[in-house]
Amino acid sequence: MTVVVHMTSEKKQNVVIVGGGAGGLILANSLARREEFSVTLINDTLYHYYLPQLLQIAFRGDDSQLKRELADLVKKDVKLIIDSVTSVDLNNRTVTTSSGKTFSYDIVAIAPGLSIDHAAVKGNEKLVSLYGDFHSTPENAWRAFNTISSMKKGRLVVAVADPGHRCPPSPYEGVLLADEAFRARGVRDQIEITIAVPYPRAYPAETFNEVIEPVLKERGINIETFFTVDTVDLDNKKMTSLEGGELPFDAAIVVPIHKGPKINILPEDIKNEDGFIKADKLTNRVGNFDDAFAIGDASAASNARTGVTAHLQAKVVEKRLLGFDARNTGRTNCPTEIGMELGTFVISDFGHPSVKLPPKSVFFIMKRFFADTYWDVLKHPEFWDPIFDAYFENTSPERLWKLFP
Amino acid sequence: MVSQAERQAEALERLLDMVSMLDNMLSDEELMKAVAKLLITPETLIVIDRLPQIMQLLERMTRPETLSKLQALVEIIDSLDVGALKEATAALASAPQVNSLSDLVLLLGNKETLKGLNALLNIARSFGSLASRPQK
Repeated sequence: MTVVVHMTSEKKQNVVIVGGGAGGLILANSLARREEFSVTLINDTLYHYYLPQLLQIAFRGDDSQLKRELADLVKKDVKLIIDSVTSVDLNNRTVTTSSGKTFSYDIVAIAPGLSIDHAAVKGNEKLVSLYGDFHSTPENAWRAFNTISSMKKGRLVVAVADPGHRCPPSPYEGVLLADEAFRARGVRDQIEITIAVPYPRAYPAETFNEVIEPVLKERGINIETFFTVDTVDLDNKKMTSLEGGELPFDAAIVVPIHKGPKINILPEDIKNEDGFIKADKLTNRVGNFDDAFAIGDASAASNARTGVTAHLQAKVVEKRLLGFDARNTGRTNCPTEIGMELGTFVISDFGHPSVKLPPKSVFFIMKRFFADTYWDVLKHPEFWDPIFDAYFENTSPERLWKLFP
Repeated sequence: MVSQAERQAEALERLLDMVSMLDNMLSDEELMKAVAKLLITPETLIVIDRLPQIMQLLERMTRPETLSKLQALVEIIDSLDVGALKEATAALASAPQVNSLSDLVLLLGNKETLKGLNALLNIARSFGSLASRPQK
């Protein structure tokens, strides 16, 4: 039986947000304190997951910041529904869930994240079940931790299958944290580490490559360029690339193929061939629908699949709903841990390539600080907005490029 | 309309969230290790070692009579004739090397040197008058 939940009201605009990730939660909590909106947030699990923690699980065995109950993260004025959204009908302004409920809306924000397709690389499903990864689930991150913490000798390969993966610096953080872990256990001399990437250099952005490649080389990490993983042969312990290369390994982690959310969105042509939602890169508006926005990893318009991108997109949507002509600047702000208590940031925007920020301990501290304040930022965006405004203004790529030419 | 009880409940919730955030930071071993390394250097250890003396010095420096003298000093510096100072500096900079007593006698008789010394003497007098000033 289908239950139709009427969400209309004379005074308030009914905003339905699909997905309680960083973008969805920040938008929900930002709008909830305004009287002109009634906010409903629908999420398929009871928990919000802090995905950068997967890296900390895989290489440090630390899951302390992995998840929190959504009920503890939403403001009291947000109607939280735990249910799986199966479809969003943009023409009829409805959102339907697996339990048979249909929600009508005035405004919809689609922010369900993405889906991981291990099977898209032949042999990767078996590989991930053995060695794990740090881009899919906590279970796979724990498998990766077992791989890293038990490896005593041989060759570890971390290979990027999808250039559009979440958290662009994460594969580099992975090999550098593996290097740190092996050194701490005194087995680094017996283990060869290789990072294999589809790009002509270690990091896709040339300017940031000038920062990260010397670090990789200094730590003795091999860089295999023009290597887009095609197949994994677990029996013979080797992987092949689309470019025709071959890499042997004793243990390997593949950064898997990312696909759009598994939600039926109508009209069907609103998704691209990989299932990501076509949205305007400046306004996040979906297609020609004035009442629909896509935020975060689910959007084909996100220039980086990161929490900060989703956060900034959510703030742009909030401002647009309040009548301002806000637009995305394309600002990225990826804290990048490189081991040895050092860090850097990938900072860029639509008008400026990534800044060449040299590795410093203060950037490592900032990364940890951002992680520790994460939950508070989600729940109290109004408290953090002026702080972030000042931070983003003072660390704009334009300014930083003058400091670090 | 939001009642006072609701406002208080919200304030309490915010406080608890802030405490939770602080707890996250303080229990973040990686963060604490990095901050400690950044702060605890040989130089900071020297400072910690000398802390009793530094505290004494700070106490002496912040006594009302010291602050009053510092204030007077600032006033004198404010009132100094920049032109005369420049002249004195130029005269002393252009003074030739003195190798013997006869050179010194000759130098002291030089008109430019006398001008410079005169300016310096005036500055010294101003500083000297600090000691005889009544306390404010």
